[in-house]
Amino acid sequence: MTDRHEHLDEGTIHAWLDGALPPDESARVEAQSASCAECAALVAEARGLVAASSRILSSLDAVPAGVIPGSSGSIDQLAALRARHGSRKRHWWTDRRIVAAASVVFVAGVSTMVWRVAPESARSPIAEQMADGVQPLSDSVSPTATAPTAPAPPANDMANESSLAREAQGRGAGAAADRPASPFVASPVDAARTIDTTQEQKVAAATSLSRQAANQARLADSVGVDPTRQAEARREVSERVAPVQQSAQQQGQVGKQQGFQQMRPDTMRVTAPPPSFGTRARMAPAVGRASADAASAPACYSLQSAPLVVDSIRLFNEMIPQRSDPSWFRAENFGRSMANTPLQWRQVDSVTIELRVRSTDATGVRFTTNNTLPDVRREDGLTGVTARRIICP
Amino acid sequence: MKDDELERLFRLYHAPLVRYLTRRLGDRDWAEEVAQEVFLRALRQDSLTSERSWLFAVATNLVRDEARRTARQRRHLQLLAEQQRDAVFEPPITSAERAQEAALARQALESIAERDRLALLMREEGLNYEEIAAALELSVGSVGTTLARARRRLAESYEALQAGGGRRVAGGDEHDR
Repeated sequence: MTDRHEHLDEGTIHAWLDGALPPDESARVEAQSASCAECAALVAEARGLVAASSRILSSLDAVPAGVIPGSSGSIDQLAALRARHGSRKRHWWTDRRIVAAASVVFVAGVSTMVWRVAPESARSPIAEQMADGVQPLSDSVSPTATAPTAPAPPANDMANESSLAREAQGRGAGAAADRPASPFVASPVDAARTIDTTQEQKVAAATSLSRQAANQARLADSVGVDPTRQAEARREVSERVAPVQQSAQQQGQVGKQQGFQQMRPDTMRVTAPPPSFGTRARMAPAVGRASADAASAPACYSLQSAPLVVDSIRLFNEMIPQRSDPSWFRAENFGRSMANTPLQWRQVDSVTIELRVRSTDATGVRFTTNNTLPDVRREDGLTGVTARRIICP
Repeated sequence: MKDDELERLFRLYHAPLVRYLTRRLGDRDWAEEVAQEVFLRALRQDSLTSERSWLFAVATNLVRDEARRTARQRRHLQLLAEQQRDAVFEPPITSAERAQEAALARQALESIAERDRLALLMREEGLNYEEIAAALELSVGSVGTTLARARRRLAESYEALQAGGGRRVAGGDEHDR
């Protein structure tokens, strides 16, 4: 009896070549390619395709990174990332169009200094105005900043509102009166002043660059998306700023760490009604943290009058990265009908949860965790339902 | 996420992610921006199970969404940027021949379907079949076929382009950049 086996199919061959087959299947394929000439030919061809495509793709890596050498160093990227992460949490910084790493770096550096030297009251107006790029910090930097009598640079609108500036006015000589120096210079702490100056100069460099980038970004936004220019601007800025920011970072290390700790949002667990946090749903809410704590067991709800054929759901802390917004988590239906429907949920705001069937953009529901009606404006396919927290079976 | 965790992630995955994105986008700066965004999101997690798959999935989806919005715009601007860049700086390494190779490779890559393309690029960065399946929402069993198809199509397109002197190869998802 002759056994006419089917020749190996392409997918299996490639899986075998990629080492993705379980041992028994792998052995089978190997044996078959040894015994069947046609199969061996297919395997040889596949090997050729694997090698060829690798080679072809590697030629794409010859794309030049940028004009300025060293622009894409990993260390710079890591530094920029850290700064960006820290400063994103700043509540007073709301202009999300200024996403240039450097302007964010600038913000981080500045706010670090603000915390170290500025009284509480001075923080917001200064920071806001700086974020708006109203006042070039560089203009107010003077190498002899330690001397209160140093001649101050041109009019500094932002400092007017700062109590530090008033302090500077009071303390400084007449030169500082009508043109208050940078609030950071007028530090009540003499010892800090020297350090601030150096830091200030560095931040100043960062500032003017980032301001350029910010302005460019703003301009681009108003004119229309110009991502290439934005990218170039960001690249330029991040190249020049990252090393600057790094040394400023070292000096401001303590302040920065404090800042990070302050800014880290409270870890939220699904099992408890989350505290309020920033309203932008775009930012992954802190509840997104897949907590290792055993106390963060899945939460279960019973939904009333849902259009989806779900009634009892279980919300997990496990993320589903498939959607572009990575704040989606796994959920399951364990009710009477259609159990184990793949669902996903996310936190819309501090009390509202949205639930959808996975992999579709179709209907979804929202419910609240505080027995109120969810706010579903005319968003597509969303229905508000009431939900009751239940104990997970 | 702790700082040393971030460093570890960065050390392990930043370079492959940037390379994956660069190959996919054809723009190193854009690739690095997206990579930054990916790691920013990773930072917000306490921990990641299946890290590589997660990172590549987020990267892929970021690209997919943005690309949809700005596909044509970006292509045009990229041309402008390249012109501008060339005016300022001569890339020292890229010879004319390698530039030509890169252009052909880009065209060949564009000629294959988006999903196949992504699967292949991920595979090139060392993701295993499970990771690719998770990142692209495929079944593990179909990854082999997808890669086979992608590799074949890529090689054939490239060959055709070389033979045809760089004429545009039809097909693929031009709209789904």
